[in-house]
Amino acid sequence: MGQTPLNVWQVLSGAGPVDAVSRQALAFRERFRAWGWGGGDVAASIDPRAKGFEPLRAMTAHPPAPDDVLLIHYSAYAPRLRDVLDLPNRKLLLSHNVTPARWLWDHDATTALHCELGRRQLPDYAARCDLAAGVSSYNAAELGSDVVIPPLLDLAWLRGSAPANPPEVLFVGRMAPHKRQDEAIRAFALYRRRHAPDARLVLVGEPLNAGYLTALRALADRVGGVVFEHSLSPAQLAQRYASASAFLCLSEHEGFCIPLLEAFAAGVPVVARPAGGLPETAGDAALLVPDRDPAVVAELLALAIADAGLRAELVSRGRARVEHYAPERAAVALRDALEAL
Amino acid sequence: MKPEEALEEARRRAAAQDGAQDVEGLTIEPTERVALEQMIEWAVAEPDRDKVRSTRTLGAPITALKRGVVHLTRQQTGDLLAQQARFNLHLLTRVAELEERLKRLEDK
Repeated sequence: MGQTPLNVWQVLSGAGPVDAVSRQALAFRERFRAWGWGGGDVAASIDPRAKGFEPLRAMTAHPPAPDDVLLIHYSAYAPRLRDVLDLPNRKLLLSHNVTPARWLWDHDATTALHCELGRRQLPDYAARCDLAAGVSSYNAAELGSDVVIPPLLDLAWLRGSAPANPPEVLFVGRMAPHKRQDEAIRAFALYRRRHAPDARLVLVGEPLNAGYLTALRALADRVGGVVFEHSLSPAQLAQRYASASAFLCLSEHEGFCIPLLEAFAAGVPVVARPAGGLPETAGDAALLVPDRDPAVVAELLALAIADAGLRAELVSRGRARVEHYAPERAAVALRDALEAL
Repeated sequence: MKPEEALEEARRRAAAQDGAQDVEGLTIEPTERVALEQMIEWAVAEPDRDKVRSTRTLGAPITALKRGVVHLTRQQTGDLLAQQARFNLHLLTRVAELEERLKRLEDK
């Protein structure tokens, strides 16, 4: 490892209070401080609830010193990031992946447009950086790279599992079309009808927009037992994981899927669709279901919840996945990539 | 049961049941290729005042202020939107004409 402290400027397209990219940037910054490194964190747009970020113009108005390094977290279209690419500094682009717009055109035109432009822009941005990496091999491969910097996750805030009775099925992720909460609700409806009439489905996530949330609620009202929550504190989220009997993810697109590891850390068995980078994160620790038939998903849920032997094996394998993604390993990958620039 | 056996067992159990009773309502379908009719609908943007909001903790007064600004500037924004819609619609008409000509040539 090199001895010279680096100044790393992290550049985000957008910073929010709970999104995975902002949380990663803050975790990286904590690690940089521990290494005695300097720099700052800027974003092209900042949600008023997000803490710890400065506007991008603060950096472009006072450019970093020539030896400083830029770490660009790429997750959405951001035209103002183009100015950053013109800076002479060494640059690392870390792709968190961009959702394909085809899931969003019918539901949120602005987000869809940003995703479409973001995916078109990404290869060009990657080519203009000294190094391109992904948070998973899946993301890196999209850029023709094999450099992986996994998320730096501190999962100590998650306590052990104490499943609720009647059962609770949990999903954590943005309430957006590609996350397929609609399919989760349909599969849950069958599980509830056939196995546990008092079961609950807890859907945690920031809604894409009010209209989409209303449509999901209308679907859920036909089923019953579905709870929508967002803006939870870490303690509240930890409680939801602790009381979950199973974690159900039917998302159509995932670059990494951090909630999967959170479920593993909380000792919750996982049923998931093998989409995008999810199989890589899950390893052998989740019940992966490529089937579109909600009845199959419902039966798999029932097995994960009621079969004690299966449950114990999944929980044990989940713990191994958490160890595989230990923060120290991710920190080494991060430091190696930055020092190699 | 081992995790590797679970999916087949779930399929077997699902197949043994009566036909699944689907829940009506919201169904998500990805938009692979947008039809011209849909594009024409999208070509004309209409501002929805209800979508103007603030994400701050006590955002109600800010939301009201933003909606007031949208209302007060509707004349100018309406004119801009109309100009953009005019261009969008003419462009789509040209595309439709080209598609038709191409089809005629291919049919020859």
